[in-house]
Amino acid sequence: MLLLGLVSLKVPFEPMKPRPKDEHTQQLWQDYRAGDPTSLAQLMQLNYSDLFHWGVRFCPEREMVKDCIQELFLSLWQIHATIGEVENVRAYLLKSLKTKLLRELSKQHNHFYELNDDYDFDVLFSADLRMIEDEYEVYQLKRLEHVLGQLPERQKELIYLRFYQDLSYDQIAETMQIGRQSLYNLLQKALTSLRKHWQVGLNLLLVAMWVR
Amino acid sequence: MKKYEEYNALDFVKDDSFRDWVRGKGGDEGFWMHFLQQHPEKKADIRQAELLIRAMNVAPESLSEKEVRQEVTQFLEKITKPSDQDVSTPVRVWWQRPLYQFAAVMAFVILSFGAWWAMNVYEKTPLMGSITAFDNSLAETVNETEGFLMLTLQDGSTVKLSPHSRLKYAPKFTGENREVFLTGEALFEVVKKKEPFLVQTGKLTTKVLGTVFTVRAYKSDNRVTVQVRSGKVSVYSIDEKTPAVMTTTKGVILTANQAAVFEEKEKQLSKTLVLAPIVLRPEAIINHYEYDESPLPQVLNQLEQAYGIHFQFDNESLKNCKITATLSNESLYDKLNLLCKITGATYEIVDGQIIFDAQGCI
Repeated sequence: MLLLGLVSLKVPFEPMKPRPKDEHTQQLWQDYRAGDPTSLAQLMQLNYSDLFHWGVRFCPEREMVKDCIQELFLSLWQIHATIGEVENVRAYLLKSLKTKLLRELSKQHNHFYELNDDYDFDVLFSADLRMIEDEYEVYQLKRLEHVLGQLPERQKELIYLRFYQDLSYDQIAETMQIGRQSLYNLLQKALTSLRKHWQVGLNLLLVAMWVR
Repeated sequence: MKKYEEYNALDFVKDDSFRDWVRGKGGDEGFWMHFLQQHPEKKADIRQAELLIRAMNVAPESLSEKEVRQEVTQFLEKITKPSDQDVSTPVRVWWQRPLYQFAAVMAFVILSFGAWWAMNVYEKTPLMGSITAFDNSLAETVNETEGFLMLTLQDGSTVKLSPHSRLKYAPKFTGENREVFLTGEALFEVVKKKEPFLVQTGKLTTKVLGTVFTVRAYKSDNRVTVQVRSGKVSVYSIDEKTPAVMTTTKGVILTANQAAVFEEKEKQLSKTLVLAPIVLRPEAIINHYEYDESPLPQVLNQLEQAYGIHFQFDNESLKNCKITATLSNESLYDKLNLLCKITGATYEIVDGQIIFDAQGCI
């Protein structure tokens, strides 16, 4: 049964188009810096759905997110002659969009949001239940979903970047603008509390079964 | 090598390769299947890790391809348009523009490269300075369709790009020339501006000089052809040794109904006539091609004026040749053949002119 379940690991979680390879992204970035507008447009196209998804976490208004993405790339174009090398283009774009959106929101709400500040991060974890037939496992996943929803905002953001955007730790550190060590601590905290709650749930379940 | 056999569920969750495998994205499929077989004691941890990663799933936002395309197109339009224009005004495509603007359109150019040349020379070796100097600031349009592709350049000139052709051009023309780079075939309608319009085709440069003209070329294997319908263009071949210098000694100036052929093998640029000369001045044919005992020089002079092509002939020896014939819409070459048949003359095309040679008539 266990092995049967593991076969399901091969199923991709969401039918997303594969993200561009890093080398490809780097090449486009070089071409953009050299002054090619179509390369920047390609970067926009390739990263658009990720950027949009990311933006909506901060701001539920789709049009505002779109406007910010538009402005982000316009300002990138304006500085193409002076902008330097960027190691992680995807992380750089995510970080820049976040900064822009938080600044916009600050203007609107008359409240100053800063990176690492207490801004909202709206993410709803919904476990992938495909090919899970064991009711006990479904229960566990539902419970994990709930626990994930209770995590502090920054931990949710980290998990989102790691498991939705599929970023590496370096990329996450750049996007969230925190050091590697703080990042590991944050991740450890998140996973520990996940496991703690999970095991509580597991024990409760066992108790329930035993009582019955 | 990571010590996966010592990993617990959380360690697996944190691992890049494991995450990618669970999400069906990694390339380590074989490794993990093998690892599972080798370490059955890790199955519980791995299953837990899998469930954790499954729980951390987030649904994608509904965002259609069309929305993305719209946004990207909007962006491209904004940055490729001249800054002095209001970005919110929609661009009118060439056929939407009022007719009077066509008065400003002054040039039609068709250039073509044979497939051989394009595939074998262009792709493999940089041909000349300006080709190797292709920099990334140029936009490129490739017509991979079977039909024509219309595009409008920033100066308002339009290009009808033939199938399997590509054009590189600056999104915004700067500097003293308006320069585009063509592989394949295209028809240009060039808007009159102070800056010359240059079509670079590897070893040949076509420069728009003035008035209305058409340059036309045919697909052939190893030559570049430029044909002019009316007006004036100059065509230069580029010396590979001195790519930056364009000298008129290597160039020809083409006027109405003239063409230039650049033979790839001989590296020779020669001047000739277009395949189908057109009548530029119909009013020159005062008698509607109806000749009754007309002297041949008179007929040739009419044709010369009507087609704008220079004829060379010996007036004295031809004046006794009388023509009685009715010509109509046959091509210029058919007309010439007919005249030759009547008078026993021959003609040849030399350097964009027609040389009419006859022994003379009695």
